[in-house]
Amino acid sequence: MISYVGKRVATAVFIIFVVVSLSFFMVRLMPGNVMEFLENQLARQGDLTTQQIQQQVNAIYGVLPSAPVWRQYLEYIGHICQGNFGTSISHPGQSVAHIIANALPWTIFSVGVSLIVSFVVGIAVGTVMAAAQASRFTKFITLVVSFLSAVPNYLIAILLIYFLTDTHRLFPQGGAYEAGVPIGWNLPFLSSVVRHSVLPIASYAIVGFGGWALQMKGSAISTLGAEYVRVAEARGLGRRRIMQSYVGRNSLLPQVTLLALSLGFMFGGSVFIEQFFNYPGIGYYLISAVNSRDYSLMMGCFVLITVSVVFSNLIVDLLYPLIDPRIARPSVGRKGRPSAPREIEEQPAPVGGTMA
Amino acid sequence: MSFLRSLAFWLDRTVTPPGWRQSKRRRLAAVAAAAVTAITVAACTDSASTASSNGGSNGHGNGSNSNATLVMASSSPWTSWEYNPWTTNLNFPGAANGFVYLPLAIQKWPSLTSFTPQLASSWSVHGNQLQVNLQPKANWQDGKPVTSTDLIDTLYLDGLIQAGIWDDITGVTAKGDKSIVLTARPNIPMVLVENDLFNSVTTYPASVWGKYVTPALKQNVNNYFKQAATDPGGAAKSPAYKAMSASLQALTKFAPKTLVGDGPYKLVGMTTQEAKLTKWDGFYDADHITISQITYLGYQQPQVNANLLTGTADFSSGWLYMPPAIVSQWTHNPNAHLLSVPGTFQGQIVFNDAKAPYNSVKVRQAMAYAFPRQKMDELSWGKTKAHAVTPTVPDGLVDQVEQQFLTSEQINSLNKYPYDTAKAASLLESAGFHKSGGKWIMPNGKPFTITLEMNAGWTDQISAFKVAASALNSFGIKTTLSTVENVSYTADLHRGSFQIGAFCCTGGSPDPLVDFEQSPMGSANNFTATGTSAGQRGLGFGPMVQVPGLGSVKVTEELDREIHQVAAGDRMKELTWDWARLVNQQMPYLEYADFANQIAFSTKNFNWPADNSPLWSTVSNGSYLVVVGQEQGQISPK
Amino acid sequence: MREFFRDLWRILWADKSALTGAVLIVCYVLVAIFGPLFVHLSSFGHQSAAYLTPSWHHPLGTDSLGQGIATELIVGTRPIMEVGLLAAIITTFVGVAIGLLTGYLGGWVDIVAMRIVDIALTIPGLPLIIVIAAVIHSSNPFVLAAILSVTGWAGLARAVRSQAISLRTIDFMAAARIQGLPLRNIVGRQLLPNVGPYVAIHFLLGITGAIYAEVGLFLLGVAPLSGTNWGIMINLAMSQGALYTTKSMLYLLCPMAAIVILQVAFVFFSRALDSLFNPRLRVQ
Repeated sequence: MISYVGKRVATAVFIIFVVVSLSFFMVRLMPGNVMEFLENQLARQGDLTTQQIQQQVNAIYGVLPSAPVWRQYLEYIGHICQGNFGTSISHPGQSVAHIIANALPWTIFSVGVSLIVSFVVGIAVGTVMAAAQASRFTKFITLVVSFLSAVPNYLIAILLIYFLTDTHRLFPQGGAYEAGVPIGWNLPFLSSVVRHSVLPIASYAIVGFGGWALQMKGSAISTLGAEYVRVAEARGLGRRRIMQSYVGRNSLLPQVTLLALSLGFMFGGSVFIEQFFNYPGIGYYLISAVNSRDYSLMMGCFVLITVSVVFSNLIVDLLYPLIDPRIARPSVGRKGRPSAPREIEEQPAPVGGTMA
Repeated sequence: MSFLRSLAFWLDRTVTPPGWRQSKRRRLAAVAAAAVTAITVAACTDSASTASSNGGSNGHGNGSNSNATLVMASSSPWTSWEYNPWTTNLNFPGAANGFVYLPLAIQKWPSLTSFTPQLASSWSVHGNQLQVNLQPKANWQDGKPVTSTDLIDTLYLDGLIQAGIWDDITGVTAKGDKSIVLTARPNIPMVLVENDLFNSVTTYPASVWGKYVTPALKQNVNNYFKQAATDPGGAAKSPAYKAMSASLQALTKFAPKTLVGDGPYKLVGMTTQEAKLTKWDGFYDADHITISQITYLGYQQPQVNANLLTGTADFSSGWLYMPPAIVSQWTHNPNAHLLSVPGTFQGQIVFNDAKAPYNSVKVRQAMAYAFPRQKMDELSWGKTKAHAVTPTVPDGLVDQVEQQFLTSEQINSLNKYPYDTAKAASLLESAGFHKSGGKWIMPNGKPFTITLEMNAGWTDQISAFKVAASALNSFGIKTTLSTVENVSYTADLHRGSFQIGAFCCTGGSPDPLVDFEQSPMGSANNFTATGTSAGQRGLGFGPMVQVPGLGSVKVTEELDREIHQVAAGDRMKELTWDWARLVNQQMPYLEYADFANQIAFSTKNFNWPADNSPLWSTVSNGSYLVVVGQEQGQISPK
Repeated sequence: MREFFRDLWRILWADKSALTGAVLIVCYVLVAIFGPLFVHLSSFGHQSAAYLTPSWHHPLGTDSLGQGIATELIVGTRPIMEVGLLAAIITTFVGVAIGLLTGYLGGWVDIVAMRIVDIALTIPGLPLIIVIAAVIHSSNPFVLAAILSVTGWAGLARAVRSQAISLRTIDFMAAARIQGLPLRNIVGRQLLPNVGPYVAIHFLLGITGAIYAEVGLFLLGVAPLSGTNWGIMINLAMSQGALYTTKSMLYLLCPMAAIVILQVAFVFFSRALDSLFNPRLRVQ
């Protein structure tokens, strides 16, 4: 058991290290830098001459990294180990950790809620569909649900923006809360937060729940076909009893595992939606960092997203032995060779297809 | 979906642990309950938000005199904001300028010499000295009066970020509590000092920022700029400069929690989507400020239009782009007005002047005939109240500036380059090209193909270039349009890795020499010597060029020199004529669109100046306009 | 093989939505291949031609520049399908190759490859694609497809590997090994047919995933807007404010509908494959 845990933790640390290193070099290879971005923007303001622009940019970014790349790399790794992600280049004076810490709650909140909503609704719908496979209702819902799960979430966002913020002004167009509301645990602020989050959450959930429902249905039907269910049927147990005791339990379990895994992907999946709703989460800052070539912020976002994925995978790995003891003690297993439990799910995030 | 299969495998291996059977019913029930709860919660938030948003819009619709909110849309979305004006001023809220912080004076566009007084109530020139008197009744929002110390401290801190004013002056001193005196460098026209001071310096409170202005800092700034006047290279390596860098680093680390302004409005709050401002009664001219609240929306472009069309926004100015279809929809609205104030920026088609075949003047001129500029502009921006129009003559100046500095005979003697494929064909033939099978072949025997590069962020110009690509294709040149993400695009232009591209957005200054200096052939984009792109060829025009009237000069250095030494006057007119002829004849770049500032406003809830009021054209900044308009009694709630 | 198609046809016939999906996919493929032969983008006319209502000449009306939307849709089919298909081919090929080899060979090859797979599965795919696409800014379909496949292969590789491992221990594989059949033979004759179902479904979903990411890149303006395709149409329609005038709704909604219908068709069709390969789903 200890060796199992140790192996998992070591793998997680190794992956984080490699990804941090990879992203460091990839980001450094990007053409253009934040100074060019700033020169552009200043030129667009119109009042300044070229020389003034260059002088200003030089003054502001006089200390842009100029050490050899390998030394920058070592320093970066060293700093990260101390939890220091450096200073944002496009916001001089602000640390990357600070910016991310401000953005993080919004992504966790919006994506987390949408994940839970779509999971719960999806499981409920999927169970119903599996229980009454032949009914016209199920056929219709299956159609609707498969349809929704195939629609890209950003297209849903565009339509929601059009119908619910522009044509009918039911919801605010963007942002995470209303400007001027005192920030804190007070009712106006909280209700403002909820109001602003409805559309982003809906964009995720409308396309997300379909995936869960279909998986739940599929998994439940598979269970229905399993031998022990057949045996139960042969024993003459009631249909309802079988659905609840045998099918429900066994088909819900893998879904919960998948939920844990998709938690890790929540940051990566937020890129489009946060962009369309000006929602100040991780995805929003990642795009803004890419656009302004803010290396340190970009890497901070990357590392955070990676860590979240690795971490949730690790948790799933560590919880698995509790569910299925054969995993931690391979000798008990059927095939003799220990294999990572996650091998059976190659597709952790139901939202957004294989690329997200 | 493929993991349906995997799940089946997983289930295959999962046996049902006996202990779980009893709790199954309860668990399923819990799942169902959770689902129901989630749905109910969703429904509740739904109705709650509907109710409150209705309340909000009612308040807006019935706005009375005492409680009017002006909703102003701007097309400059901010990704984040800070209340430190010296970080990168891009993160400093745009809504602060004019509303929260008063400008010293506002330039009366397009004049280079006349200004509307604001915080600077008056000023006077005595020899090489400019005395600026501050508004006597002006106070900061923390109750302290605005004094000469505030302005002087601001100037020194601006020195840290190399503000242009310091290229013009040798020093600044206080004259009493409410006046300062700037001493100009030798040979610097006083108008330039006024320009740089009033256009670029905004005063910030010494109560917040004064702690950073130490005597040592002042000394460093003075020393550095003294040396930089004669020896910029040495100054950049001097200890004074290093000390200034250190001071700037310290300065940028400070993040105030809010803004302490001296303008008519206070900042209430700000998000990634909007900023809210409310009237500040302590403002010296508060009696004239009749709009009690301002919501400043920052958006991507399409949303600005949506806000106007749906009546969410009352006013929009500054980089508004209304596509033709939106213009016609907006102007059908009975309360809607749309103005197109000419002369903000220009869009140019740049040729890679160092790369064959564009290193040939004949080819560039042929291109000028082959680009259907009129059609490009009309299809992308429309004909009425358009965001951009075709310049009369492609000479590197927007029509408005051109008419101020050139005579009509001069303008008429320049080549207008109308769309003329016959002329383009004969120019190409004289450059050694020939047509075979309907396609143009280059002198080296290869087919002539063009990749038009366009910045992906300039969405309106993409349409124009689509039209151009289509026209060039039918002319017999295989043309593809490729858009490149913003920063990579600039890097491509600097590296000179493009064939024909777009250049935007400069060339809107009322000073024609600045327009030429900022153009693609200026030092920022052509054989760049300093800055981030130092040593890169860019446009590749020159470096030595035979300029009509000037002889053989190094274009970039000559332009850099002139903008610092030549103020409005006859010499400026002569030089303008020289450069205009150069651009028109040599065609280093082709001016194809003169941008206008589209100003949209709705008279539903507010009174605005008449469409032909000079206020619209003389005040170029939307926030300034709202403030000055109220002060003059031309803008008020209904 | 004939049996396979007979089975497929039977399932399609029974599941009308899957049949619809299959028919739609065939239609899209035909349009992508032959469409550009029949319609051509006209050169631009006058502003009065913008946003025309549907007519015989322009069945779906015209866009902001007076171009027929139906024509643009047809011309724009190939670039989207091409990149989606290429990306799916790349991910599938790489995924299967790595999965089979590591699963069969085991040992240090397996260990190294699986660590790489771990990393590819962990790196946030979409943000990575956005960054790479912004840097490379190539409009070449192969390059774009390669960018889109940068992490997509890993999931399949892992799934195929676990299949390969479980099959390796199954009797006929053991028998094959005992008989001393060459590696090529074992992989090609025994393993491949057994993982085929996985691969086929992953391939279809790979296409939908690639199209999702590809269109997203065009929407963000990260990938070069070169030529005509649905993503570019939506991007231009949005920036031309097509969302906000009733006259222009077709300009925005048509490419969106084209994408959604294609995605749905793939998902529906893949369901048929799923039940074809997974007999348990056919209990009813």
